[in-house]
Amino acid sequence: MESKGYRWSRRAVGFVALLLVAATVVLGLWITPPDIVQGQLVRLIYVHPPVAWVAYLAYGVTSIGSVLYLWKRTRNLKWDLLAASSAEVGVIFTGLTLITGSIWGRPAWGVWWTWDARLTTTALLFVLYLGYLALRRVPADSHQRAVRSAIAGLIAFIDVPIVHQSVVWWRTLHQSATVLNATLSPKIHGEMAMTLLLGFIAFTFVYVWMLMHRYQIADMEQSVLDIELEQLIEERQREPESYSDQAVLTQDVDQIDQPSKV
Amino acid sequence: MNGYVEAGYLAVLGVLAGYSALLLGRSRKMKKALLPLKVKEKRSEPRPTE
Repeated sequence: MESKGYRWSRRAVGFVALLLVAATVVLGLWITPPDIVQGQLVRLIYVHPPVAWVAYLAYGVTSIGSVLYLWKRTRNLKWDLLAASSAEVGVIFTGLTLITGSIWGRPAWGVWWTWDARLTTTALLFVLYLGYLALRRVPADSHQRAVRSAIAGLIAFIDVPIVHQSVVWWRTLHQSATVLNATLSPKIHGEMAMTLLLGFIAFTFVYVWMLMHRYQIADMEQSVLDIELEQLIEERQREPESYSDQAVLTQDVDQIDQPSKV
Repeated sequence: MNGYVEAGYLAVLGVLAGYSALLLGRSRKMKKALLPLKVKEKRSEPRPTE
């Protein structure tokens, strides 16, 4: 069960996240000025890149958890649970990246969706991690599931740098990076830059809060599985007679199957 | 504004709020399932022997 300290720290993270998201929304919608080129549409910059960043972060944590599980020295089921929890939160944020990108694309490009390199690689990322979550549902014992998932998680992560670099490697409709570009010279300044930074911090706090909750649920689900397994073993041990009867019966059947020696 | 901006913010806040509610609900359910039962330790009086 969770400790008191963990519960309090989670509540504190949740409270800070709520405050920061509220501040981002107020600043993003009403305080910051409209852009010369994009007009009011630029306000989407305070939510779209931050949710995309959180998706990268979440998959990064999944990869670290996967490596720590695969490495025999640090092998512990908690790393697998952390990786899975982070991947689920990452899928939510990738979905949001696609939704907000589509909403931005309609007035900016005239289409809800186009098979542009950035959009396509992001959609692929979404599908890859959905596949990761689906793989975890395939019946297997905890260790087998953890190994399979760790390998799948690491393979899926290859797409993250491809998504980020897609606007550099291919000619795309999507604009290049506003902050984390090749020359590390942000194309945004003043209160707009501050609000964008606040957005990054706010959604990172939201991610941490969600991860803490999801990890705790995963931990409890694992405890339930362990309890169920113990109960099954106990039940089997309580019925020795019926098993010995079954063994005798199997032996009899074997004897029937064998050809009689004359 | 132009409707698209509001839609974007609504989508983000709505999805995050929905997922948070789902997490809280699942967490509460699991806690209930795993909470150790509090058993009142009340010793019964020994039966009078005849």
